[in-house]
Amino acid sequence: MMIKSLQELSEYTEELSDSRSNTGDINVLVSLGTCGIAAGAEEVHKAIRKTINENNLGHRFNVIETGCMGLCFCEPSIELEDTKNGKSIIFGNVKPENSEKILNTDFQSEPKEIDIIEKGWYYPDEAENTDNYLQAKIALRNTGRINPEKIDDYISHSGYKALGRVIQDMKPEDVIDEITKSGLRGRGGGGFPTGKKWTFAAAQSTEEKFVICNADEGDPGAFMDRAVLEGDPHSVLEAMTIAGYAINATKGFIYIRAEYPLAIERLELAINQSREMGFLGKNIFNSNFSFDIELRFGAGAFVCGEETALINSIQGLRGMPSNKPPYPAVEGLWQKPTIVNNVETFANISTIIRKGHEWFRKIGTEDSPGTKVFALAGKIQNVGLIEVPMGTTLKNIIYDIGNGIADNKKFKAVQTGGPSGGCITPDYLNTPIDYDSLKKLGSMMGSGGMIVMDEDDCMVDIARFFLDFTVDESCGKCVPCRIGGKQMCGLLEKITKGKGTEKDLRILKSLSETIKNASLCGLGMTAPNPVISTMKYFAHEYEEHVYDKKCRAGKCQELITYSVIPDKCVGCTACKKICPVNCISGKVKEPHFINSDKCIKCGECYRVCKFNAISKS
Amino acid sequence: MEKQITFTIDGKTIKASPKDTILTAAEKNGIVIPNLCYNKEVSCTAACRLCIVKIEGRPGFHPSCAMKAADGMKVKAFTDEIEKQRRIILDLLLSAHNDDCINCKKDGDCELQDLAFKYNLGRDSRDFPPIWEQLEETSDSTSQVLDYDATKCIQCQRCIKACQEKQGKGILTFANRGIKTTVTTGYPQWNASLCDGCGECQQACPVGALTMKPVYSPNNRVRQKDIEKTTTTTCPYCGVGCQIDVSTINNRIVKVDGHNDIPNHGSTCVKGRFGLDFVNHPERLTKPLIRKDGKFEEAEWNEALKYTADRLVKIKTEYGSNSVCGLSSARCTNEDNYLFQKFMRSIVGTNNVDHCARL
Repeated sequence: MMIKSLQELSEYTEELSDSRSNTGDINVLVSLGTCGIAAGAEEVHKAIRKTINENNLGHRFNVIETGCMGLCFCEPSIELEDTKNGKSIIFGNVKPENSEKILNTDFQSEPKEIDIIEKGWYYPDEAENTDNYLQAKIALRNTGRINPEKIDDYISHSGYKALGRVIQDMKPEDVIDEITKSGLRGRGGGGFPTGKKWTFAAAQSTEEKFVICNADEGDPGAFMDRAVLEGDPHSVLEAMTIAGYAINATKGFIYIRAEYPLAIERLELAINQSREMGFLGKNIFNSNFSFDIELRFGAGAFVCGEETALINSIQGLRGMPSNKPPYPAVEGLWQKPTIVNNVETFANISTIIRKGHEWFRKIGTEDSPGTKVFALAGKIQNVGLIEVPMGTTLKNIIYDIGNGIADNKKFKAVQTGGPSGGCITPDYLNTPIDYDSLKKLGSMMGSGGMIVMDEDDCMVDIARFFLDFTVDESCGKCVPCRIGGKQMCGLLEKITKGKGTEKDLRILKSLSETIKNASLCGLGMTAPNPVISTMKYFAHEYEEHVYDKKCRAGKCQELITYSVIPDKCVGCTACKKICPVNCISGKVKEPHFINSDKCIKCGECYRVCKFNAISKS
Repeated sequence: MEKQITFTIDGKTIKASPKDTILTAAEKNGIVIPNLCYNKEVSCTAACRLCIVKIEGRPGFHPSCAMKAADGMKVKAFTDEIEKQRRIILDLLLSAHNDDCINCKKDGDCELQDLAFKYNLGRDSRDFPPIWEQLEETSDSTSQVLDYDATKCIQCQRCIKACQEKQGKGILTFANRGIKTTVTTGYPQWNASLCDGCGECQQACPVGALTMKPVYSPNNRVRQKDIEKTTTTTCPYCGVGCQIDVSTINNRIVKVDGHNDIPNHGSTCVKGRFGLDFVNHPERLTKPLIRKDGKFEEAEWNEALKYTADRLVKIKTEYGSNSVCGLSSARCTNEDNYLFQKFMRSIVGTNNVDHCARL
């Protein structure tokens, strides 16, 4: 069926809601993203369906297979939602055998044996009602709520309404004006105002222009784009079409990494459904505007997330960045004006059009309106995907949503912005996070990775870890990134091995400045950030490694010595048995001894000792 | 007349064309901003980052090879801060470069060596330890005329771009990424590729990574500084008339380069560059030969010309014009070939004329 006007769209939406009334009032949302499936969500889904069928509960329940709900710490997860009163309850770590108990929930008392998720993970229906909630969802509004494989689900959640309105009632310049006024900034990392980017491209008089969606998500630990594409692919398609209308482009590409097979499958399905209903293709909403979208696959290069490298890759060239200017908005894909926006940015567009820029500006801060999706990872209790209004403090995120540090350890730092970002220390936990405040702290928003570190993490080692990643992912084009990164890694390795000197620290500092200043693209320019920020906030750790040859976190193997505390050792011989190099001696029931000359510092003795009789220093 | 723009570099007023980049404008005004990947013959790469400058009102550093000069621009090119960055970049380059200059064919003719000397970056003055030996890069000397020494490669892309943009061949590309990036033909061995050995790549190479095999003097390695004389002349191979620089030692050819002028603008083909070994070949004909009693004997030019003219007239008179045919050479100039067919048609009186220029 083809939808030709807004009128037809709303009629169709009504039809959908009428047909819904035959099903149950309680929605059973089963999170079936890649990670949910890996955790066993499909078995849970089957069990729920089976229980409903066997007990003839079809009139009460309406099962919806959704994308990722973001609850990584407790997959598989299920949400029960009473559509009559809006009450909802989320269950975590669900097993197939829990299905009966879950379906018997009366929303009043909480069933035992099943994990109920903490308050921090609930969010309001309307993003602006943040009073009782920590999270607010705009980009992820449908992710985890609708079935991504059904276009009807998207349409009944106001889908394609924004596109209809744009084409029927707005001029391209009005659309850009709306986005500009909303203050939306690129969610891919740089935070460049989206409206401004579109304005540049719209101002070009070339006949052919392109819209590109950057779905080459590559930051270690970041997976928000995958969640959107797997959970709500139509929101990206709709937004790209709106962008096409705004800048007068007729063709869009989604550059997606081949490592996201489920996202690709769902996008392909969504594109076909969208074409069938006339939201993509020729004469959309019976207008003169035509637009279509194709997928292009990335082959696993982090640097292809950089827009000029991405463009080269689509053109079939080696994925290497080019110098800017010219910017893609002026001279991009095949030298034609091109806008490149990332998935999360696009996921915001149709809501802004539907609800208006004033509504959007109510959420978030003055200079960074709206919300931001973060992927919480590292040494935190509740690992997962969250969306919070800009300006939320790190403390709220880490302690109230993330439930604090795992294993009761002490919080040390949080790395934002992935391998290109920087570390933020406990002193700045109350800083409201937005693009500019993070930049001021020497970090960056990046795509929204947030890796929490505790007292067991050595900051020199962390810097080396992130640098290893960027060195491996450097395209090899410019000298500072190609060779500078490698040399910097060498210096850090030297320091973690206890061979660093004062001169090394000096060289490290000036080298990181040069890489930052002189590199060609964003990857190189931000690669030294982990080093610069850890050297700034954890200078003492660097100094300890260099002058005292000590690693306070006990992470740097060369700097640790294992020894037996004679008072605590009961002579159980566990350590002696497990030592792979036989460097532990001692008789049964007598204190043992570690020969540190022979010790290879594998840490096995430390691990197996039940009496805390091995010291690591 | 084209409008001129005026801007300043380190306070000095520079006049330039609006087409100029900061780098080319500086060069025309006698200011040489250090660079390695820049090659005016091909598109801008902006990879070596040595030519970075600062521009008032714009944050950060900008590669002057990629930035168009604009009216009123205030450029800083040689401040202590910029020079410090350049020194670090050079130091980095040297750490990944096999600096065995003593045994290098490009010793004395190497842009990296020149810059290292200028910035006083001898081994003892460098901050970064050499890492080129650990990189396990793949060198390739299977080409009949070229050698690729990956340990000397600085990944400037000048060879790749010369092959693609000047020769239109696209044989060369990068393999691997990051510190492991090397130039490759895409085949396991150079001689398996479609490279025809024109040598445009090695002419573009600023260092000793891509060099010519000693085709002209197999037993005698030659560096630029050993060359006694370089003569600009016309390539004898075909009618295009490429200008070439023929270098000689002791009146023997040791090297041929393309000369940067019309019509070839520095390019030349494999024959022009490597095929002039016939010049000093012992079997080369230096005098006309006339067959006497079934044996070729050397003759003087006058004798040979007279003999030929007499025979042509005799054959034409006895057997008619169409009993003669003329075959000319593609190695003659267009003008010579024109004259030859004119001679055959109007003097000999036949259309039986052809030549071998079916390359």
